[in-house]
Parts: sequence; structure tokens; C-alpha cells
Amino acid sequence: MNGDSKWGVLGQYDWSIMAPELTILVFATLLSIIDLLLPKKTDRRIIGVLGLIGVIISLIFTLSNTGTQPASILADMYRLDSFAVAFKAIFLTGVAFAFLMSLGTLDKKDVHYQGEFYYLLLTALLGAMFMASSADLITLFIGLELLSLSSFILVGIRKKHIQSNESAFKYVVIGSISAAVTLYGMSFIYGLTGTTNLYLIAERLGNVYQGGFSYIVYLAFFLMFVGLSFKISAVPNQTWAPDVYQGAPTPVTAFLSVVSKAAGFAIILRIFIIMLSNVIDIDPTTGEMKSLLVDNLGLYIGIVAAASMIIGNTMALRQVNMKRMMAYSGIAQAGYLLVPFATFTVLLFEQTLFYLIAYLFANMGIFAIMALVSKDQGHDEIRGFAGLFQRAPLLAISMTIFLLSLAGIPVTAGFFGKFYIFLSSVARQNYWLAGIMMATSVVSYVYYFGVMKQMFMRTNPNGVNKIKVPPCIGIALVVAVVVTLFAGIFPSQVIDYLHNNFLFENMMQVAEQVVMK
Amino acid sequence: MSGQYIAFFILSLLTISGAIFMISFNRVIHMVVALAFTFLSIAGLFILLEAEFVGLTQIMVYSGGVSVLMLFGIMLTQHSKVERSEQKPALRIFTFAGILAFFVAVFYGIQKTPWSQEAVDYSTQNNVKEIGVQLYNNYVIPFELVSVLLLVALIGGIIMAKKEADDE
Amino acid sequence: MTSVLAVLTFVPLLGVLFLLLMPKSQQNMIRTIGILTTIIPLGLALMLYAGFDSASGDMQFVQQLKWITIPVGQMAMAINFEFGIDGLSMPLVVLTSVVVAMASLVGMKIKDRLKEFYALLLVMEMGMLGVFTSLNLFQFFVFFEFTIIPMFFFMGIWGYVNREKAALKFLIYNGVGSAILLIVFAVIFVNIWTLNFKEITMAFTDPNSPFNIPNTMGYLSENFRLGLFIALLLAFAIKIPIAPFHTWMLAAYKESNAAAIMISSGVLIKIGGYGLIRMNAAFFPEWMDKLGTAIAILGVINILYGAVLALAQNELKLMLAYSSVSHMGIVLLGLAAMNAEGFQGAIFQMVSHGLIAALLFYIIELINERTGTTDIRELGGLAKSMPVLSGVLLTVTMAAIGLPGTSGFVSEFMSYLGLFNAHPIIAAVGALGIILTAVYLLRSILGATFGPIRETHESLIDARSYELVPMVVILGLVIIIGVYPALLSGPMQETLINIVPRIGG
Repeated sequence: MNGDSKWGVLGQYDWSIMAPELTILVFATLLSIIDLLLPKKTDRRIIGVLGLIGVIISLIFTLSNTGTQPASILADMYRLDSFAVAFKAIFLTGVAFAFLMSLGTLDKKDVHYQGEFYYLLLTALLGAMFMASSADLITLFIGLELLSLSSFILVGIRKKHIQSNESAFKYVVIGSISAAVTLYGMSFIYGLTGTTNLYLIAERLGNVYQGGFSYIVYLAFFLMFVGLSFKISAVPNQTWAPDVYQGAPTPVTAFLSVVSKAAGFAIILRIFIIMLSNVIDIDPTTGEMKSLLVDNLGLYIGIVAAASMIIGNTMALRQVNMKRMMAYSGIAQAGYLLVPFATFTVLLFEQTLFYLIAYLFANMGIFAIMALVSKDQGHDEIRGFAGLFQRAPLLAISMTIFLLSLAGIPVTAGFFGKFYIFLSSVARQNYWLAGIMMATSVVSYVYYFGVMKQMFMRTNPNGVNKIKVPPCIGIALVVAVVVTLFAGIFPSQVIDYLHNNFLFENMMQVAEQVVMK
Repeated sequence: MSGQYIAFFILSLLTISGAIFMISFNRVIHMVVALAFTFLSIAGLFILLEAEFVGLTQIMVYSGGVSVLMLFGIMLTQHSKVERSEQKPALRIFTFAGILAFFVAVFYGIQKTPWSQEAVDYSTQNNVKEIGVQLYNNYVIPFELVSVLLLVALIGGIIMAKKEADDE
Repeated sequence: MTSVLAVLTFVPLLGVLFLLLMPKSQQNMIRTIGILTTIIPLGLALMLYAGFDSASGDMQFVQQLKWITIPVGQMAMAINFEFGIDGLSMPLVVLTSVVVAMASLVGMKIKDRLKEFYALLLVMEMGMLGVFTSLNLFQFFVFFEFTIIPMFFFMGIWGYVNREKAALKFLIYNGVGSAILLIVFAVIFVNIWTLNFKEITMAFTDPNSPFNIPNTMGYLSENFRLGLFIALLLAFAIKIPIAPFHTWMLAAYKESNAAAIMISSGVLIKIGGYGLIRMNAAFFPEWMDKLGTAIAILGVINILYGAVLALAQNELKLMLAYSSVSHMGIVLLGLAAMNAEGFQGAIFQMVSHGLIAALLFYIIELINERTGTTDIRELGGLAKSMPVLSGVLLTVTMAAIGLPGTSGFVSEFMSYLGLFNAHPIIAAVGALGIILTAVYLLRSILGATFGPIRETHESLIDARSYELVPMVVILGLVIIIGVYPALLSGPMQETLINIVPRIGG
């Protein structure tokens, strides 16, 4: 085929590399039609099962792309590289967990629009996938908005729940403001370089920076960073998290805390690393050359990371509600995840991915158990976990493993993840950040072990009846425990896999425009 | 001082004040009118930048469509004055200080930067055609994605607004 | 024979597996499995002792497996899984297995959640054995955490009213300690690219290593080393504990069950001393030497502070807690001496105090169980109703005071001897502690065993047969070491020369 086909230039591209996204899109559309045609009384879980199948198919497509050369459609409007594949695999796994969780615990009385619930999850996922898989500011931003808008609705989907309404409103307001701030920052970059393509921006921004526009570049960076910090719930944009986590249905909370946050990291890393890769700061007096991103901005990112760790961990101490506690814990974890970015080394990509994997499985496991416990107890408070060990020993033990992973205790994935992150901050001699990281980790013991205290050392006032574990949640938990322990005991296997299949350089390479043969 | 500068000044003043009034008014209907002012002034700004297509779209969609729809919505539903909880003065001062600091930072930056004095001339190009070509070629992926976005917004609107008749 | 250490370390996990398969109601079966499982490492440890080559100062029974490699660009940072023991760790391995086996007998009295009791005990034993048999910092750290986390549950589930608070306090203090350790380990790792004890020692002390040649790329400055040294000292100070970091210990000893205290005072706090020798002294001998005076002063403060406060306690457990602080000060004295006698004294003191403290706490717990109190003012004359138990208590107290013929004498003698050679004045001040120790121990123990007896205490059951086992075993060891110290010092000599090249020089 050539450029003269009736599709014009669009016909030249091999659209099959977009298979994961297209699968999700098709399934989302399909589910909405099936939802329409199904009789009202039918159990909507069938939609959830179909959605899960869609997610798994998409995951297979995604993983089949591992280790391939970077490819792109329409000048990196859509870009498939190892960075994209890795993050998409994380999103898809996270959403699969959210589906399993919803299938097991979602209450019809609580969430009336079950069909909508499932396909909104899929559209949110679609947005996240585009956030990881494009190198154009416009596509990235639209992906961000698709994710945001879908999650706004998901948060407010418990219509009769006053907290859900309030938190959805709060989420919309703060989300829109931060989107506007991000866009404002992007507009400066577009104004300075005249393009939205990240690689072209990178090419031009170096000269622009030298040409007296350094202040504007800084300004644009800060605006975009502040705006995007909303998605990862890092300081200064973290205030929404506790209320929204508390108000949303548990599977949505899990989605927000893992997928949405990972998507935020994807877009932050993608934009800033490419955009600022050629920007060099020359010291006027000594003539010393420094990379703006690696050497100068690291301090600011480090400050954000440190503030997130401190605020998240100290505020979490005072919580009695499990979801709020997890929200603050999530803020702190966002801080840890920013450390590799703040202390830029060759390990950045693997560190972030490893920690995200650890965080994904631990958090998903915790939320799955929390969903069961709060359904059983009728509230989300930490005291609901009292005596869990007597009631459901396996649940309590898995919960302990997940909590230990978040706290960073061997031999869980979280421990090695933290150690791994830690290495780069020490290697860059960023001791203050390393110190804060360790100190806040110790603070976090208090609330993570507080939950364990409830589970093992207290008895439940409501009796010792057993908790029934639905099979789909059982599957989710087994997977999460196995991965958390495996990655903790044999981290080398995971790192090797990441190292061999997800090359970081891949992200900076010029992608081949894939053309149909 | 050129006429363009004066026009920019007036339009941006209108945009900002419209937005501020929109927040501070008590009656919904006043809010919508203030909002419409903002929309219109933004359209004016677009035209000033020789983006007449975007400017006209702005007038049609926002000033025309959105504002009128809002008015309809307000007239067809019941509502009372918006109750405002008194903000703490400390918070107000803090917010104001934040805004001021941001303004100073941006203003200082813009003043300090050696902008090119020559304006770019786009008048030879056909704006509408260019947008169309770009949208359906280069930017077709985000364009399609926006349609999904709108669909989601639609569904969301229905979920949020629908009265549950089948609730027994 | 090559994997004997791995087997030794992980064999307790096998017991855990068996325990998990047991139904809850089979209490006797659970007890049997729990106690028998602790016998296996004990047997293996004694085998190691027998097979240990005293003529060699190197690591023995070494086993090395590839574990983790972190690719960094074209190179890789490797972390191995490696076991080995030398004359320093071997006595502590034996000590651990003895103390845990004795602590497992406490389970005879526990009725509630017995299965968890033994499971946690065995996991902890794995952690402790792992700490002493690890040959690299990362592995050391992993096992170190395996002692802390189970101990948190162990203290929090079985104990007295405020046990949860005490457990949390234990966790936080030790968490801070391990956080500091991890920072140091990471710093060492990224600078020297190895975590192996021996390689690090070489890197820091070998004059030809690139890290020791000034004005070259890899040179690590003296201040850098001092920073690491102080950080390590701080981390182990919490563990030992050196005053003022001892408050976790008081809460823990007051509120926990007997097994937890036996293990904590018998083994866990010895990890601090072990770390000081294995890391501080071996990696940074010149700083250990330069700061010897400061460490000696810290030791003296510990001895006197602990002794004075022990004198003021009426609660037997708190008295013993302070006495632990005081006794661990002697370890510091031995280390500060930086000579062979001092180091031997320190290791002797660790082993000796581990045995004595474990037994003392065990007996106090037996008294508490029978009388319902550990307050000296409410006790008295127990020798009349429980002659055997009181007799053992008195004997072991004598050992704690340092009566010749017991292990306590040998260790104190050697530590002070070492210090007198190095810092005579400090040693003289520290020697006051010996007198104070005698005073506070005799005051409280005699107060409890002699004098007028309360009516309610007149007919108490004396030591039961299974309760006699720990008494006989530990007392036996204490006296054997006291009479024939070469048992312990023999294997140590070569190692100490190897670990601290500057000793004697």
C-alpha cells in the first residue's frame, strides 16, 4: 500500500501496534451496548467478567510487545517503546485486580450503576494507557483528562453516599485546577518551541534555554510538575487524597491509588526526561556544564519527595479510618517513588518499575482484604481488623505480608524496592534525602504495625465468625502474595527481566515509523 | 501603545473580572451572565491572536451554547440563593498571598525574558483548512480520544443527574 | 559438611512448617514439636563446635551462593548468599541455640495460642542464627529484621498489661537502629561495590587498596570513615543498649513474657556487641583506636548508671534490666581496650551475660508465676518454701557478680585487664561497678530469698522437673566456662588476630 490509498497518510501506518488500546476501546464500547441490551434484573457481574477478559487480552497484546524496537504512529503521536509497554503492563495488572475486587465485593445497593462502573474503569484505563504511550503533549494531556474524567465519575458513583458526593466534587475541582495548571505550563513550552512533539521540543529547548528563556523554562517545569503532582498525590497537590479515597468505593480507591498514580508517574517521567534531555545549564562564572534535569532540578524534586514522605507518614499516624490511612501512606509512597527521579542515575527506570510493581501488588492486596473486612464489619475503620487472625488466619497473614512490603521489611518486594531506590540517592551523595527516607520509613512502622496489632493482638467485639472469601478475591490475593514474596526473595530475577526487556535508552531512541508491508 | 495592546488589556480585564464575579456572586443567574462575559472576552482574545476560527467556535459553543443551556437549566429547576460559609480570614490572606506571589513570579519572568519583537505572521495561511488538515491527519489519535472523553462525560452526566425512578 | 550452616539456620523453619500442619487442639504435640525443633540447631551447633578448627582464624564451613545482581550500566553489583563462622561468631551461635532451647521450655506454661508461640520463636531463632552466620551486610540485615519483627509480635501477644506499648517501643527503637544500619550498608555498597565482610575489611584496611591511597579517584576520606563509624556505633548503641538509648529495654523487660526476655537479653542485645566487633572494629580499626577513650567512657557510664539505678529498683525485673545495661557496659570496656585481652573479655562477657541473664529472668518469671509479684518488698524468705529454686537463683547471682569459678569472673577479669593496659584511669573508675554490682544484686536477691516470709508464700511448689532443665544446663555451662575458659577462648585467638590487624600493634 502507498500514500495514495483512500485513507491518505493514515493508511500507511501499521495500526496493529495499537492493539492493546484498541482492545480496551472495543471492549468498553461492547460492554456499554451489552449493558443496554441486558434486562434490568440481570446480574451485571457478567459485564465485569467480560471486562476482565478484555483487560487480560490487552495485557497479552502488551506483553507480546516486550523487547521490541520502539515504533510509532504519526510522528510519536502514538509511541510504543519499552517505557510504554512496562507502564501499560502495570496499569493493566492493576485494573485486572480492581475488576477482581469489584466482582467479589461490589454491592448492588451501594453502587447502582454496575454496568457503567465496569466500562468507566475501562475508559479510565484507556486514558492511562495513552498517558504512557505517546510522546506528544496533546495526546498525553487528552489521555490524562480521559483518566481524570472517568475517575471523577467513579468516585461519585455511590450516589446515595454523602461522602462519595462530597469527595467527587472535591476531586473534580482540584483535578480541574491542576489540569489547568499543567496546561498553562505546557503552553509555555509550546510557545517556546512551536511544537507539541516531545522529541522536537527536546531538540529545540536546549537552544531556547541558552537564549535567555531559562526563567520561562523553569516556570513551565514548575507549573507542569505541580499540575501533574495531582495524579501521583504528591505534595503540594495531595490534599484531595484522603477524602476521595474515603468516599470512593473500595475498588475505585484501589484503582486511584495504584493505576492512576502509576499513570501520573508515567507522564511525569516521559515528559520531563525527554523534554529536558538536552537542556544544559552553564555556570557563568566557572563555565561548568550541568544537566538541568539531573543536576539542578533534582533538588526541587527531592524537596517535593521529602515533603510527601514527611507529610504522608506523619499524617497517617493519626488516622482511624483505614482508607484515609492508606491515602496518606500512598502520599508517602509517592515520595519514595520520586526519589529515583530526584537522584537521577542509570538505574532510574528499573528502580521505578521495581518499586511500582512492589507497590502495585501490596496495595491491591491490602485493598482487596479491606474490601472484605469492611463489607463484613460495615465500616472502614482500622478497628474492624481486630482479631482478624482468629477469624481468617490466611487473610491476616497475607495482609501482614502486604503491610510489611509497604513498610519495607525483608523479605518482601517492598524492602528490596526501597533498598534499590536508596542506592541511587546514596550514590548521588544525596544523604539528606536518604536520611529522610529512612526516618520516615521508621515512622511508617507505627501505623502499618498498628494494623497488625489489631489483627493479631486484639479480639473483635463482634465475635469470631469466619469471613468468607469469594473465589475471585482469593485468586487476586494468591497472585499478590506470590509476587510480593518472589520479588522479595529473588529480586534479581525481576531486575534481570526488567533490565533485559525494558531498555531505558529505548525511550530516547528515534522510533521507526511503522509502515504496513 | 498600539490599539492591539489596549484591546488586549480590556479583554483580559474582562476575562478575569468575569471569572472573579462568577465566583463571588450569590445568585446563579448572575453567575452565568458573568461567565458569559468571560467566554466572550476569551473569544475576543483569540481573534486578537488571529485565531478567528477558534474565536468564533468559542462564541458559538461557549457563549452561545453553554451559557444559554445553563440559563435554561436554571429556569427549569428550582434553586435558592447559594449559601456561603464564611471563610477564615487567615485562609483568605494566605490564598491572596499565594496568588500575589505567583503573579509576581510570572510577571517578573515575562518582563525579564528577551522576547522577540517581531510578531509571527499567519495571515497568509488558511486557518480553518489548516486546523482541519491537522486534526484529521496528524492529530487524529487525540481527536478520536476526545470523542471517547466526551462519551464518558455524557455517561457521567447521566449517572450524576438521573433521578432514580427504579429505586424501591 | 559445606551446607551445614545453611541447614542450621533454616532448620527452625522446618519446625514452623510442621507446626502449621498441626491442629490447634493438639497442645502436647505442638509443644513436643516446638521443643524438639530447637534441639536440632543445638545439636548442630555443638557439632560445629567440635568440628571447628581452632588453628585457623578464617571463616569456616563457608558456603556461597549467587543471590542478587544489580546491573548498573555495563557492570553489576553483586550480593551473595553466603554463610560461614569464625571464632567470633561460633560462640554466639552456640549461645543462641542454647538460649532458644531453654526459652522453648517456657512454652510449657503457655496455654493460649501455643502454635503461634512456637512458630514465632522458631522464626526468631532462624533470624538470630542467620545474623551470626551471615558473611555479608545485606544478608546480615535481612536476618536482623527477622529477629525484630517476630519479637514485636512475641512481646505484643504474650505478656502483661502494657505489652503492646512495650512491643511498639521495641519496634521503633530497633527500627531506628536498623534504618541507620541500612544507610551505612548502602553507603558502603555504592562506594566499595561489595558487601562481603572480608572484602570490606580488606578495602578499608589494606594499605594497597585504592580506597586508602589519598588523592586518587576512589579514596575515601578519614571524615567519611568517621561518619560511617559513628553511624554504626549509634545503631549498635541502640541495640546493646548504651544509655540513654536503653528505655526500650525497660519497657520490654517489664511487660513481656519470660521467653521474650530470655531471648532479648540472652541473644538479641549481643548482636550489638557482635556488630561492634565485626564492623566497627574490623572495618575502621584506626577510629576504634582513636575513639577508644570515648567508648570506654561510654562503657563506664553504662556500668555506673545501670548499677546505680539497679540499686534503686524494688521491682526485680527492672533491677535486672538495669543490671543488663550495666553488664553490657563491660562489653564496651573490653572493646575500647583494643587489645586481645579486652576483645576476649568482651566476647566472654557477651556469652556469659547471655547465659546468666537468660537464667535469671527465667527464675524471676517462675517466682512471679507462683507468688504473683516481683516486688522485693512483697517477697522474702522464699528459700524456706522453695529451697532448690532459691539455691539456683543465688548461685547464678554469684556468677553475675563475678565470683571466681564462674564465667562472670573470667569475662570481667579479662575485660578489665585489657582496659587497664590501655586506659588505666577509666578502668579504675569502671571497677567501682564491680562493687556496686555486688551490692545491688545481693540486696535484691537476698531480700527475696531470705528474711521473713509472707504467710501466703509459705507453701509454694519448688522447681518442677522440667523447670530444672534450664537451670541445670545453663548453670552447668556457666561453671564449665568459669573453670575451664579455654573452651571458649581457644577457638577465638586466631580469629581475633585476623579481625583486628592492629591489635597488639
